[in-house]
Amino acid sequence: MATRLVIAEDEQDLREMLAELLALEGYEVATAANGLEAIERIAVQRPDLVISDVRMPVCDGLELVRRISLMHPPLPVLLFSGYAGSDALGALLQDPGRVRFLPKPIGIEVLQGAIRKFLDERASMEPG
Amino acid sequence: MKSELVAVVYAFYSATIVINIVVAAMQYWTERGRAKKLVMIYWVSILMMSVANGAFREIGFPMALVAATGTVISQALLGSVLAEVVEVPIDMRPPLLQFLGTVAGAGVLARLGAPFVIYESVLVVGCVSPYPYVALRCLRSRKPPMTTVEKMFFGTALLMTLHYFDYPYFRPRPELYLVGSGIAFALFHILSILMPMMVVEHTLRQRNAQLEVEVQRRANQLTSAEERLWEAKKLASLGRMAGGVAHELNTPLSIIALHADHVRADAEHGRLTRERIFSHVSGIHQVIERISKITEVLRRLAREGAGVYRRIDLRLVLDERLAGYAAQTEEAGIAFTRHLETGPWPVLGDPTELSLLVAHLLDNAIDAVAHLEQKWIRVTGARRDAELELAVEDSGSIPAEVAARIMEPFFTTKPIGQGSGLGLSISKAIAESHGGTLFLDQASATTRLVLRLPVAAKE
Repeated sequence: MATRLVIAEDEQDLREMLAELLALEGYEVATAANGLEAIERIAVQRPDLVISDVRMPVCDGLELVRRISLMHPPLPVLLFSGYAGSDALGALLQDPGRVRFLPKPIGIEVLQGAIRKFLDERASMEPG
Repeated sequence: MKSELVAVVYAFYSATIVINIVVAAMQYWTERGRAKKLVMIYWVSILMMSVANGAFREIGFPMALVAATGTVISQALLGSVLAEVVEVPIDMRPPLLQFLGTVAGAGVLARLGAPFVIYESVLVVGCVSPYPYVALRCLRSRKPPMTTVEKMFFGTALLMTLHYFDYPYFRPRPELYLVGSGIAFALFHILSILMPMMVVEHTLRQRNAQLEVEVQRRANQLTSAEERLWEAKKLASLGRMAGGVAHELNTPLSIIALHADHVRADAEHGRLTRERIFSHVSGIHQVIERISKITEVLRRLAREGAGVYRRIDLRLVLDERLAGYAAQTEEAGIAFTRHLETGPWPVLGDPTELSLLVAHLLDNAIDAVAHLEQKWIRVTGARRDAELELAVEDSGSIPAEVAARIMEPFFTTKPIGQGSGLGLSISKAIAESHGGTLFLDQASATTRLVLRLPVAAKE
């Protein structure tokens, strides 16, 4: 069964290209333009991993992580941003089993590598 | 009768001198100040003169020698104190050597049977010389003007020096000697009071100077601390800005990277058609255009403050700029109203910059209401005493956490294609370089940005 992803990114071009490329690699991808939309997609898609930009209008990546930890505690989130380093972000990255960070600019190979590594390590960490 | 009176007066003088020494010693004992020590030594030297005059039965060379020794010590003391407070370095050896020379000369004269008035005159010239020697040098050095106490000391000591010259004639005549020693007695007392006053005054002056230097040093330290703080703030703001630039550039760079990935993926899957290549190339060009827009804005920020300001009518600038928005807002279905007080609104400024500022405010408002059901923008302007207030209000609202950061460079809530986030921070910089302010009216329920500019003074 294909790995399911939800991608939250406010930049339409970037979002669509990411979705298209990841779909080509065999992932099942749903997209969202901000954190709120992402929450809706998560409820419908039940993804294995959420990939989200940090800076987005309406509901940003940090808020999205907070909401996911309340509503879907085990769901891992891969954050990416061109704006590296803030205290709020640093606080979220305390648990590498759940939230990780990837700096922009991102190419598809790097992103794919990070997704695979994240999910593999989580699989080995979880008992059973 | 006369010799008895002389004896009584002499006893009175000696007792007073001894009391003075005891008092000076006690003062020096309780407070080991330099001034107290000098007074004590001074009185001891005077006691030497007194003892010489009283203890020796005969008026002769031995008496003259002891009295001269006491005199040379007291004169040297007065001289060195004066040199110290006037801050002129003086070598005391020449007058002291000269004293030894006159002692030898006077000794020879006495041996040869010369009268008292002759050899004593020679001796007086030698023993009083240290003070006038210093006084002349101090006058010649033309250091800062003397204080009142210093002038009094200078004059009294000079008087004292002159007074010694009547001694060879007065000493053998009891009635004259009584008068002469009375004058000397009074002068000794005045000098013993003026000397410590002068030394203490000088010490205080030195300490004041040290304190001034210290205060200046602290002030400099404070200034440099402030400068460092300001630099740190500047760096922090630069850091935030650099972070913003990184974010602004990294997103379009990601898009370029993904276009490249796409081309490769298409090639791998054998579907790299002409159309797809063109589509990616034009996608990349669009992104590059966006990046160059960002760098253009950065260039504008760097140029900030280079404008030449002149007296302009802000009302005219506004009319010209707002005219362009009537059609644009109508097209977008936005109710655009203006309430502007009649001009002129004299302002010292750069019309291009101020026009750009107004445009930034209106562009922001139009973007903010574009997706709202209720779409309106209201521009109000009024002149109040020394200030002009222009407010751009729209039907949107700004959440509190956004409001706090709205003026930061690169802060934006817009999707990336629409704004660089530099609009408001540039507008704020323009307002501030015109001596005005630009702020978000926190009391208003809807978004209301207020620009305040000082009215230009009449020419």
